[in-house]
Amino acid sequence: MKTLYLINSKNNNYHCRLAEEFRPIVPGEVIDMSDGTSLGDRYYEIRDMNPDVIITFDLAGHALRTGSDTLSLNNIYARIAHILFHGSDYYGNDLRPRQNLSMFTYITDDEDISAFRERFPDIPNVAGIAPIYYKANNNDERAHNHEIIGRWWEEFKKEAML
Amino acid sequence: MKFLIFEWAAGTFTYMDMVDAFDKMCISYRTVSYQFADKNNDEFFTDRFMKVLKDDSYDAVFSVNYFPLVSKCCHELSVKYISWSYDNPLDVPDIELTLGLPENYVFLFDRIQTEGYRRKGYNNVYHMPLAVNCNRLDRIKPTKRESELYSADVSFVGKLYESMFDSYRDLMNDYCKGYVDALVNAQSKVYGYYFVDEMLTGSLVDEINNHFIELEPTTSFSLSKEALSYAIASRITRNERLILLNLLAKRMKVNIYSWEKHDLLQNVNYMGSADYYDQMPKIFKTSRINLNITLKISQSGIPLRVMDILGSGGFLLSNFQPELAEYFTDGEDVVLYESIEDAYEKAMFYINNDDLREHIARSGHDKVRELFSYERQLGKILEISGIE
Repeated sequence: MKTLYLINSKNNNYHCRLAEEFRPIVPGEVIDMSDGTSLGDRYYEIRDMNPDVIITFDLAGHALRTGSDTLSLNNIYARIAHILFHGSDYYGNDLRPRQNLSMFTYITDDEDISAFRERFPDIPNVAGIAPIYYKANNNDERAHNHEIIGRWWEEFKKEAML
Repeated sequence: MKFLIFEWAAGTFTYMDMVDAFDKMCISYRTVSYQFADKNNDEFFTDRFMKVLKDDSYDAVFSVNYFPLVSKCCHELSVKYISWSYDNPLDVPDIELTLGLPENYVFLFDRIQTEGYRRKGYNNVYHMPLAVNCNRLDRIKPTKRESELYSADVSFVGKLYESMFDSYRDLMNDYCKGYVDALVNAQSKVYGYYFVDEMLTGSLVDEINNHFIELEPTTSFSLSKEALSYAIASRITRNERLILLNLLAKRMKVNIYSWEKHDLLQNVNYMGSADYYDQMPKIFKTSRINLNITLKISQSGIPLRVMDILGSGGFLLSNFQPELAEYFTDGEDVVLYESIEDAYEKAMFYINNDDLREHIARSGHDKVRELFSYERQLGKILEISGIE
């Protein structure tokens, strides 16, 4: 299963470390949206890689937009998981664009899913994810992260029929 | 009244105007979208879409263009499915497998295409010309800089069509090559009637396929009549677009807006692609002549591009299309040509007659506003679909 991680290390300096927490459980290639590549070139690069799964952190892939300002990722045939590490207010209007049925948004555990759904009706699939240490400082924290990520991955595969 | 709107992937051209009309008509809606790898088989989509459909009570599902899996889901749950297409052909393999489902109300902009389906027994296929949102377009005013950027004697927005014709032709025997070449030549000269389908007989297609097998005995490829017809139509359209644009560019400033740059175009300014909602209306408003060269397979209908040009208040020079001539008066609302030479002569005439050109553009705009608003067309669609 070909998996891509879309991160933005310039806006969120913990993204690289988090990707390293995920990759032992879900191997995949990391694409940093802030590495200077133009968004147009970036979109075609992602599309041409034919990924089965795209995992984005903090909606890093939402920077890719069509001429009508819809999400370019909607044009890609892949299952896409958007993992949010902050409360919904943090993302401003980035939670407003319509997401395809193949996109799943995971919000922090302390946020009310029903209220989120009501507030963002164009996000079709919403679920929670337990807190993860941005940087695992010891084996216990690492084990905690891997357990959470492992559990999330199994749930995602089931929901996304992978 | 509440609709579930299904949108393809990142969106279709007419979606925003459609939902604007729904708002004005006090129709509630929820929109979901999806990108298909296979329009006929997708277990994940079916599962998700069924969940969405069951999640609320909808009077109908609505989509721009037709999607067989949406039709199947609607059939399963006995929900009406209304689709209105701006594509022709529909580009749905094996469409006959779902088209006749009783929940379907399929609206096509081309009358001859509609009649073709109805002759096959699909009485749930209806003819409905496309629409335009003049209110939105009237609000768009190009800045001075934009006017300078987009202004041209002639503008053309569209692709040149890469046709499979040569690939198919290379694998034909000499007789079939001669036959399809003659067909291309003859059809190129005829406007308003597409006779290629009648000339592509079953025995000819069989002969082509038999020759493929002779050349490659293990091949599983089989050329359908529809695929060959589309290849011929796109070849003719490509030739017409290339010849006319090159011809006009010898005498005037011609801009083309397209996804791809073409080396075969000489002296034609390649301007990149044009965004539908923002740039395209400004191009139509600032160009002296806007060209429409319809894909040949669209036999009678008024393409979306024509609606957009007229709705923007642009002057339209188009190939003859029966429905265009039915609703608009040639020389008063639009200008129609019946050959490449005719198009060239008319472009030369109108480029030098500013008052006449502007009068025709105004008249075309008034007529399209009166006859083809979204509210009006959608109202008819809902009436035919039995949704009050």
